[in-house]
Amino acid sequence: MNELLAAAIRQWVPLAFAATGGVVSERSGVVNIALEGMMLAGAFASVSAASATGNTLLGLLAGLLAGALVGLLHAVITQALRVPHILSGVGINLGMLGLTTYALRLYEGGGLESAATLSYPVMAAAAALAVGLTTLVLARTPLGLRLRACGENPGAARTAGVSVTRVRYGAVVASGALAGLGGVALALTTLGVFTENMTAGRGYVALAAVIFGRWNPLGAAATAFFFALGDAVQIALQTAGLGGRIPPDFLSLLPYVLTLIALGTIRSRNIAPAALGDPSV
Amino acid sequence: MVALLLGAVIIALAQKSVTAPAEAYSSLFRGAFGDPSAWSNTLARAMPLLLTGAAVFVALAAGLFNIGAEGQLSVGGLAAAVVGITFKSLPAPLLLGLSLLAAMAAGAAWGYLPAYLKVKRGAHEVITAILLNYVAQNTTRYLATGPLREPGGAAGQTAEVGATLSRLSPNYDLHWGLVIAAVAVALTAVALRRTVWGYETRAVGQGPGAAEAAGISVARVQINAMLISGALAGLAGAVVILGEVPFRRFPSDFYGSGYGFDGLAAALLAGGSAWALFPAALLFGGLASGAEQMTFDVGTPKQIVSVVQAILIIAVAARLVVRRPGNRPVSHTPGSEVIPPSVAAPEPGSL
Repeated sequence: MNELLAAAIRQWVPLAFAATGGVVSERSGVVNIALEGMMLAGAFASVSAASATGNTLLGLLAGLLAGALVGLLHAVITQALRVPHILSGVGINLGMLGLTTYALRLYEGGGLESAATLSYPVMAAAAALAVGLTTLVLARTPLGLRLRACGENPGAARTAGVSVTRVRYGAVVASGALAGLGGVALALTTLGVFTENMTAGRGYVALAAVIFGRWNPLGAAATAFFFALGDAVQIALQTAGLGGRIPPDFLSLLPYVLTLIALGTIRSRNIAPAALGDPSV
Repeated sequence: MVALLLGAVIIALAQKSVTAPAEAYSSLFRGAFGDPSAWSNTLARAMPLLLTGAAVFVALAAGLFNIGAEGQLSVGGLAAAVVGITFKSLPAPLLLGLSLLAAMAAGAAWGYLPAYLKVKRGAHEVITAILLNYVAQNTTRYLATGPLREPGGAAGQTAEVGATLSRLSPNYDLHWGLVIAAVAVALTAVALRRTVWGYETRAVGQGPGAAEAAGISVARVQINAMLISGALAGLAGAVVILGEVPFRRFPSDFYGSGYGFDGLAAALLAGGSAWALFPAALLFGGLASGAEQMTFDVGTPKQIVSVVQAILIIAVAARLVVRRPGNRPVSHTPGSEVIPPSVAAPEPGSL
């Protein structure tokens, strides 16, 4: 039971970071399916920096920075170039998968590994802290109010003297940094290895957690835990020798199917930020 | 152009050499259009993209973004293989027809799910289709390595199918799939422009509110569009499995061929006209076959091509938005003729 919980927390940390990032971006009105690409960039950069310097803290910073940079890219594409947010996300995810795989292949022997790794209880605490802080900032600070205003009614925010564009840039960059940390937690905590497409859809699962968690950091984190628990149960079943009777490919479907069922059973029209996906600048 | 230039910058930075991009690109071009066999490779790569491109195009026309083409292609390919193996005793033409039909049915079913979830439950089709892609990947891999694996055969693939698409010329790998794909694209283009179905589909794509007010059922049109879209993607899976030489059996790693995602890029590049799918598919087919040559010649990893494609998608979308005359920053969505409203400004609650 304890092992199951530990495994669930291990799966939860990357999802929680990314889902919190998703909430920040979407509450400001910017759809963020680029979470997947941001996580992947963070994962690659962290292992790459940690293996080059031997310093995990630098690895963590590199991951955070890489995620933030991808966030900046998403912000420029959606705000300055006014490309529809989903197209930008699709492009970024495709590009990041290509870029990280390309860079991985350039490493000698095609492997990227860091001997030093981060402690995962520390990352779990950091994730919990990120969820708590984001909740506070969104709900209780002027900055949070402005950010939510941009997502609910950008026209009114603009009239009140808020620069909607600037707030959204900030929100999407912060979202990228958080998702980048999710990538760090995925790659640099347990094995310290980066593999091709290592996020394997976790960014999309995190976004589903945002939706199911009603665009609220606590709700998103709780939903992410539910998905993580599903993943942990699947891993436990596999290691418990049920692999012979239930094929592993089916067990690894569990999180995706759970997400699909979750999306199919709720209607959340009236809870979402009213100006989500708003193309105006 | 912008995409290729940025790709060159990335190659130069990553490989710390100014001449690396030139070498890589000249090799890429040779591999794509350098000689008849390069052309044959390019056309063979472009063939499935015509079908997946048409699939994504039909969905776009109805205002839906079918990112699930890759999954629909996989289940379509598997269905074609299953029929082709199970009914081996049937006469070849009949078996071929049945295989193609089975693939279209499987792809349509896979395309129906995100449409249903969108229309009935309000879940955005992009998220659900992405999740269904993972389900398709795992399920087809499981079936090809497990229950459907050829007894005593190599691991990770099914037995050989009974009827295959024959070659157009004995010297090259091109087969009848190319003809099927070209006809499908032409039919799509004509049907979208000249039939009631096409009219209703485009009306919904350009303004669901106005279409609904004019008495068109948006839900029905969108579900039909995704059924057709899925069927086209499934057909793409079938022509690859039944035609291409390394296949003719279903491999466990069929999902990941990238045909679905490249089709998506081709459809976006094609913009407003389905006829433009021909040059778009040729371009991406060329990029794919050239990339192999590039990796072989100068060792530049072929994944750089995905980066070029990604930049291309965003550049095309940006150009559509920026160039439009009288484009004012109001809630009207710029570029909505090509980019569906559900993508340009998703309904609240869906993403």
